[in-house]
Amino acid sequence: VTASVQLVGVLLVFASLIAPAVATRAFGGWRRIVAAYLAGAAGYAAGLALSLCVDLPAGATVVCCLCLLALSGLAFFRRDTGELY
Amino acid sequence: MKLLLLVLLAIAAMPAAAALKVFATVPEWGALAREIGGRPGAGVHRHHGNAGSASRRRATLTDRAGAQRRSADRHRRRSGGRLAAGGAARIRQSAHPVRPARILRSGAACAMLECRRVSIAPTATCMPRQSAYPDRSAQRPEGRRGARAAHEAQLDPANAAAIDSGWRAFSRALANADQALGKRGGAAQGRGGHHPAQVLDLSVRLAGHARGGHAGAQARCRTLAGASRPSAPAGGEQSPAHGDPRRLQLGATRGVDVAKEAKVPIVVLPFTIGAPEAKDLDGAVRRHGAAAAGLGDMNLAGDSTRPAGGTFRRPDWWYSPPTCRWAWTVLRRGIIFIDLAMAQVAALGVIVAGLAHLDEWWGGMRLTQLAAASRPCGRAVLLTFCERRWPDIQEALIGLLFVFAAAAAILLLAGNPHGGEHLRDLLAGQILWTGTGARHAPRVAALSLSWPGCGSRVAALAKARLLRCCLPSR
Repeated sequence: VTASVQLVGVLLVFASLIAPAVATRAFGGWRRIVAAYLAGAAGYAAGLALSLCVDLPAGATVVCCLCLLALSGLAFFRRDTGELY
Repeated sequence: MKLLLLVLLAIAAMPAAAALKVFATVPEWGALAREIGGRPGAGVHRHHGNAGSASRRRATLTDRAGAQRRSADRHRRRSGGRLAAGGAARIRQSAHPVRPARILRSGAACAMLECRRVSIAPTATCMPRQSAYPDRSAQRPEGRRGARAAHEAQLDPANAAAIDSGWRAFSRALANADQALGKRGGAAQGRGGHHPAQVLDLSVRLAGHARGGHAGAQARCRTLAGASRPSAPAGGEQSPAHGDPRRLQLGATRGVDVAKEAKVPIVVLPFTIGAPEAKDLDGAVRRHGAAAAGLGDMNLAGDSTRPAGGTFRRPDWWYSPPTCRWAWTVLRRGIIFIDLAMAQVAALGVIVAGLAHLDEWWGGMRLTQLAAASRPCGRAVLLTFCERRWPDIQEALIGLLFVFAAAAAILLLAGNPHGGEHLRDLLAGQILWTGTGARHAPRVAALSLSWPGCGSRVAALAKARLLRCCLPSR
């Protein structure tokens, strides 16, 4: 984490750590891992593509994309296990 | 003056009625408290949130047995005689459960510990914790139920010891109360035919299983409800009270699935309140904040069924400046970084206002301030929604909000040649040199900091309301 902070910055590291986990909260087990990797890759791809197209700072765009991805993942996938919480 | 003295003398001459006050977050545990305390009027006042643990904020406390019964009946009727999986789902929809971490964060358990420290009364708290049972290592001989029984057999002795000591303290408190009431010994044996300690032993068991989590509670519940054969007793399970018919009776009369309720944190708060202790309790409530173990959240002050003996007052922090209350609430709920996120969002608001040239319009700085202020308000609403929806990842959402606001600020200022300086100014502003545009800022700050005599009281109330909305509710 320390090295990556020096590499890409605090915001991006934080977003990369948290956002996929939040987005794939509905899943469990290996599915969650796969989905988290996919979500992270999608966020990075979308952010980089957007920054390339609109000429924006890449890191910040990726962070925004990851955040939006996390929120949409939360909204679309519901956990339904019948548990109380 | 004479009259006053007479009244004071009369008050002093009144017998110091000791009473045990039990607060439970769910009706079932209120019922348990009733079992512990015997009949009403025996010096044990029970209060419990009648809405389950749904919203401790809105829970109206009631100690009437009728209300208890009605609530239990409604519960049972709704779930078709038993709390099956469907019942659980309905609970999930209707009542937002309070999670142990949240209770811990909201100060309930902490305050209980505080209470113990100031020696108001021994307290016992039981929090369901999955970690008490080694989930992974357990075998599953006969499906899930068998696994649960296996889990139950592996109750962590350390946890069991902690629970036992807590409830022993509880039992001591009860004994003290009984003694003070002169109902110890024969009287206690006489009513209902059981000694408090016996029932306490039982409640220790229940609490232990609740603490163990779903698994143990389920197995124990089956045992309690009079299953054909009790699940394997082992480890902390063996006790003199094992096989006591009262246990079966309790399980049967309660008629609720302990397993479902055990996932709800159980907070049973025994207080011994005599004449001098009442003052102490008040002092403690004042010292340790509203908390009073989450009692401040239980609308004790405005409740009509407020206990006559206990004098719970709205704690002093209510009258403190709004900033203090904000900070207090933030600290109490353990969401420290919401401050950071809010500040970042406010900075984003300033940037947006600057981009939209709002500061050149009417009022100059004021409109920018308004924009900066409206942003966090909107975000507060959003956070409230998120928190109700996903209460357990609240910190993650706060962090994401912060990161998003920071990144959005960078993005918005990407095309601005002075963007870097602007960002830096927003991060660590000038305190020695201020521009003409910022001349209203001190006034705004003073306005928001001062408590009486300005309109910010309304805003502060709204803010507090907003924050308190973040507590889970229906």
